[in-house]
Amino acid sequence: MTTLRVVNLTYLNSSGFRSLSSEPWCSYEEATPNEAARRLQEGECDVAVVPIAELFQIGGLQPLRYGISSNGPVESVLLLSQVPIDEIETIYLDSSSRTSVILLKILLHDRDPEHAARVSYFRRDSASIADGIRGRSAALVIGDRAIELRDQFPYQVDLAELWTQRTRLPFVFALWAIRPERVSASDCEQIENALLKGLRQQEVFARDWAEQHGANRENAVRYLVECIHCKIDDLALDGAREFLRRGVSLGLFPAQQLPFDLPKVRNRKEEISALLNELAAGGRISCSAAVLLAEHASLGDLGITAAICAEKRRRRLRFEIPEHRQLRVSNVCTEQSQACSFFVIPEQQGSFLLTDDQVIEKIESLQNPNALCLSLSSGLVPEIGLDFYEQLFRFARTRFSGVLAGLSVEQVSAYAKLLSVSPEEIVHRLKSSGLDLLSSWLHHLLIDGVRKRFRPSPLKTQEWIEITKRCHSAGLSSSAALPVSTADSWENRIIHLYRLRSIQDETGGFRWCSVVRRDDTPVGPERSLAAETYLRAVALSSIYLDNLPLIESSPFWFGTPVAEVSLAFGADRFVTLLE
Amino acid sequence: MKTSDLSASEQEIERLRLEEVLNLLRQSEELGEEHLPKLSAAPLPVLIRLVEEHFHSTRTQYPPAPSIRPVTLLRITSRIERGDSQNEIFKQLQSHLLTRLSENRELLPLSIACDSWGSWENLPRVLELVQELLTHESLSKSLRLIGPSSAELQMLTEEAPLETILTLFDKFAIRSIDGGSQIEIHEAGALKKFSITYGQDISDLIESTTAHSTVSHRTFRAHANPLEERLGLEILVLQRRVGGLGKLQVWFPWFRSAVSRYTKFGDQALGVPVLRAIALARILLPPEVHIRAPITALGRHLGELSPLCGASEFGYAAVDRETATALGVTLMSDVRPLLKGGNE
Repeated sequence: MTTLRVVNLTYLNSSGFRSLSSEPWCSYEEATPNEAARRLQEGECDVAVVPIAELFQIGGLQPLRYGISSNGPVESVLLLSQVPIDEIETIYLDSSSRTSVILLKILLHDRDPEHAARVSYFRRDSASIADGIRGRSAALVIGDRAIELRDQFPYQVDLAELWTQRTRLPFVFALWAIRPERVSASDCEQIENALLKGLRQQEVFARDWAEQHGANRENAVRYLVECIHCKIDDLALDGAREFLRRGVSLGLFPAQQLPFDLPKVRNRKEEISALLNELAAGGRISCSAAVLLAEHASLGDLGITAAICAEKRRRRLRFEIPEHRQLRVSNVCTEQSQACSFFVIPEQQGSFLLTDDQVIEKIESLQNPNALCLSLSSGLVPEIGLDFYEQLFRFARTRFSGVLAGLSVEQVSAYAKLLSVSPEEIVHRLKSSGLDLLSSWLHHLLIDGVRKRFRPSPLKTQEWIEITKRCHSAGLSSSAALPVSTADSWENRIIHLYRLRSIQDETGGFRWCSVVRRDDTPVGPERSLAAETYLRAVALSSIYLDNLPLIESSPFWFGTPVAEVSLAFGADRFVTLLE
Repeated sequence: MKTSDLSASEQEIERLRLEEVLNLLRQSEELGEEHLPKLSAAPLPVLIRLVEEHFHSTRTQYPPAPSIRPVTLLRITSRIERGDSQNEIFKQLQSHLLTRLSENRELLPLSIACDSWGSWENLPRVLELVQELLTHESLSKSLRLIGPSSAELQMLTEEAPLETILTLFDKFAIRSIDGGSQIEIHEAGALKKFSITYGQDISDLIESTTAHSTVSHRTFRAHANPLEERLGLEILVLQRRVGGLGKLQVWFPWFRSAVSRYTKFGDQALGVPVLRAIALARILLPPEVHIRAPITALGRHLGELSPLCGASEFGYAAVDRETATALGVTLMSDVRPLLKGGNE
């Protein structure tokens, strides 16, 4: 293979493509978007990331199925102002991105054509652009500068989010493109393989980028994993076509068809096969790869791989698998969460709260109780003080020496606020009373967009993560959960798993992850979750959470037969109710 | 092929020494007795993977079928035995059927089940009435009769020879044996060109297994299961004796208790043995044979998983509550979500 001259972008959003720099056939450089496009157009390089607006107008280039797109908030293309959008009179534009400028004009026109016609535009360099945000003057800020300035002004519009809200389509910012006369079909395949390889390690590249630029590593990883899509699918391509159509109608692009055909996506079967082999060999995969598996791998392939991963995990982490019995101490909860089965309010008919003697009686009914894990579950009832639980755990400990679980991160947080003490203080008291670990109360994915759909609002994602880490640091383990409902996409479920895995990498405090079916029909479509989806979620958890000792399934919706089937798909056990 | 060229699944299949099975399925070739010990030792996902291979290589030969068969019960025999007149029974049943057909939202063919086939003495009158209903111009295009099961035919053989009984059914154009596991009777029916629906009794397989709530070595390691080997052997014998005559249309697993009734931990392990039996039947029987996963017995959620193990239909669902109660089958309204494809 001849050496190819490759130009990637300097931004964080393309740092996942830095894998090309280690390819022996690559002469690798980085540049700003406009500069990368210029070099490719003028033949100074063979392969580059080209902004979509440039690609529409530069003839003779062939794009690949990789690039930078988003399907919702992107966080790095922001319109910042001191006043609401309708009151903006002047907008300062970052001169390094024509695509974002055209996107802004299209969206303003779409909202209010008369207002859009009144707005004046001025160019500024990105270093000084924030200085222009005063009075009725706003600024379009892009790239890493936008990430820095995020949440610092009273009004902020994420243009990619607005685009997706308006069109229901992803937005494509840039695509990798080649000069066909310089790059053969086999070279293209080699480039795409290298790009895919990079995407599987994009978390590593994001951390490296953050270190080089003095940025927060976790934020950089989160941004790259959650906001940016680097594989361009057919839906994203529809987004690009819609951008062209709207741009043409406003005279921002010369009238034309999409000036290229995208090559077919690499054989999906081969791609899935490569990923499964990587997993079976003990590797980790990226979020996007996990989504691909969740959506497209056959159930047989997924099940076999999950079973292989589970067996490796069991051998590596060497742990016992105790049976897990759950005892409902109470069915009362004042939270009345739409996604929770603890729904009875105090003193309502049917509410119950077991006495200490009833708890002991139930514990004594267990066979070989000390080899079990016992969860004493209850809802959130502020009237029931922490001392009630302390006494309950102490009492249970007189007859039970197995693993004792109870309360939740949410309850620790609520008691800490109620008693005006730190979560660590609550943890200390619970540990002293004999509690081994906090039960999971994760009814919602660790995605703020998902969590804010529910009433009452659950803890924000970052709060939950922070309190969980503090509990782990204070010496109290906890269980995690993957709630599976029809309202959530695989993408969100995988991001949730990614967050759990990251916490576990840092603290090692999760003892297991339960895959639980959540019914969130108050906000979700009225469909019922398929048993297959549940099995896939179990398999994906087993594959993705390679650092958690146990994956647990639940029979509470699909019944024991399906829970039992899940044991063949990577689950280590299923929880059973102690009645 | 080098091991490095194989996918993770194929490597696992090779580790379980099932590569010959995989290759035979890819070439649409039949499996034999010699493969049963290793198949019975394969974990469920591996069986599902083999079913997927079977589907890819033979899907063009899969017969078209309704995913579910709406059924209504006709109390013919009991009325004849009660002494009601033929005309009176006909009018009532015609009215009943016309009502049911008008409610048939899915436009699937409506199956009719007789309350029983009665005694040898009354059988000609029952068959005559059934034929009259089936051929009446207002109904004939929309109805399918559920024929006698091999167990019902066996009971009739206490009063008349099987050959004579089958000839009588044949005379009234009822040429199907629906259910039962009396293989001699199914074979005799197939020889007389009756279409065969065979219900394989897998109760022993289910009752021999106890559920555990934690994973065991059995879940992912290779251990042959003699009962499952025996099941495979019975399926192969069925194929040789009945399938070879070209009349085996449907195979389904039959067991004493409905899976959906088992909800508590500590009962037999039901989900895995049933799905394994379905998968085994799928890869052992030719593609033109339907594999039925009776939704009534499996329950909705296990039923949902059965197509992934090779099931091509869910069996019968009652269009009215009376039928549901009398036959103990699920109501059509309860399984509609499965048909709409409304699940995620």
